[in-house]
Amino acid sequence: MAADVSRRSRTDRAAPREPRSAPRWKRRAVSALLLLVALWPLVHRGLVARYRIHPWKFGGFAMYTTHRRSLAIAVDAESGAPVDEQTLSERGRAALAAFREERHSYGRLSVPDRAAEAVLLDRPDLDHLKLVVQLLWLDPETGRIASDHESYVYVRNPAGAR
Amino acid sequence: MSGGPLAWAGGPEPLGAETRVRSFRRFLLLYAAARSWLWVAFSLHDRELLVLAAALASAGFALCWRRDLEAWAAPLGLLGVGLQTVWRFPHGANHLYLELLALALVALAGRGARPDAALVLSGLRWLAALVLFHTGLQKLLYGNYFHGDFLAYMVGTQERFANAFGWVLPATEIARLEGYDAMRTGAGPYRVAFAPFVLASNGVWLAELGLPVLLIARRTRVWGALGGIALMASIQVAALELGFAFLFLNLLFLSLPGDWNRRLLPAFALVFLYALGAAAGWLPGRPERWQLM
Repeated sequence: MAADVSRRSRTDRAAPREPRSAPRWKRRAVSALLLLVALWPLVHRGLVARYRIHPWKFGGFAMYTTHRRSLAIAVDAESGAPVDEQTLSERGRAALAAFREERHSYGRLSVPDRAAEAVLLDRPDLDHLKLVVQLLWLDPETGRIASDHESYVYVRNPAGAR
Repeated sequence: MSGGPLAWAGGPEPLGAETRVRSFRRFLLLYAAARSWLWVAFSLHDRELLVLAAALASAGFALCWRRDLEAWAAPLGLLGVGLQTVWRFPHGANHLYLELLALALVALAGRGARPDAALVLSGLRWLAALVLFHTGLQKLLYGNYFHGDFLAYMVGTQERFANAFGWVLPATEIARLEGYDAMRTGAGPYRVAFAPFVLASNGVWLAELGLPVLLIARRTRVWGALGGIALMASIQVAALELGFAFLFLNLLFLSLPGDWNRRLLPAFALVFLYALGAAAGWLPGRPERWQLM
């Protein structure tokens, strides 16, 4: 009998017992991931309001919640006349296209310095340059398309661009 | 699993948390692999990187079926989808981030020991509830659903929405909304004087805020899941977003009695196979329009 008890006891010790709960690091990892999911959309909403980042992007779970927001970017000379983008080099046009795409996603976090520099390099006849960013959105107060403009003015310095 | 909010989404599992997580893992890796190959089919750039990511996700899916190796399935998928997320940033859709988060949680299940699986199952249920809640909260914060503005705007600018609401709204109203130039300041009003339309618009965000509470509480979890499935189905009528719908439905299945992830896996596999066949030009259809990616 004593031998039986002893044998069972050894067997119990040999079989690894399944722990009752997951390791602490795993519980912490799951909690951290869920905390991120709980808080990020609120930060995202703040970034949309302050910097006008694209509400459908960056994982804020705001797709189909509001208008996609359209963007129009105009390049004007000092006189206010538009600069014909066809007069720019391929590099200049590419810089403007890159800014359009970046601005659409990153909003005010994207500034047109590089695009302006490229335009001024291509157009030595211009001393001043204005880039106007027009943002369109669906106004919840009126149900109509609303817009506002932000202008970036660049003045050529004696050394060259900007 | 110990107490705290994570335990609220837990509880006795007649099926066993390990079985549920295993079935969900198989769906998730199937989804990741099929979506990744669709990206390969439709992307014009960086095909080598996309093929690598798709191969990693596919290897993960294959490992799901080997008990001794299944712990490596989600980490491989996570690596592949992580590569795609970085490559696509900032243009990745929200469901790509959801897929990444689900893979990260499932990767923590490891070899599927019961306590780990129970923890991951609770985490996945919380993930579904939080995402649903935030989609409702965002609609509340942006305010474009109170008078039905957003849906009216979509009816005016997207053929899919116009077709879906064609049986509810008078043809003259649809024509009016379609007649506005959405790129012109002052265009609108994107509003419809038809009470059921405005009620439906408000019903969406109210359901998205309310259902997560039902999803977490043990006694109401099944009702929350059924409500969520009904909401997903009704949204798909207008916004055909099959990728998000498939992923989210499978997260909701985790709150239903019965292993619906396993039972419906062949049906999802067939849809993906069809989409891949159509992408290759062997079958009719335009899978790039189904938003599976």
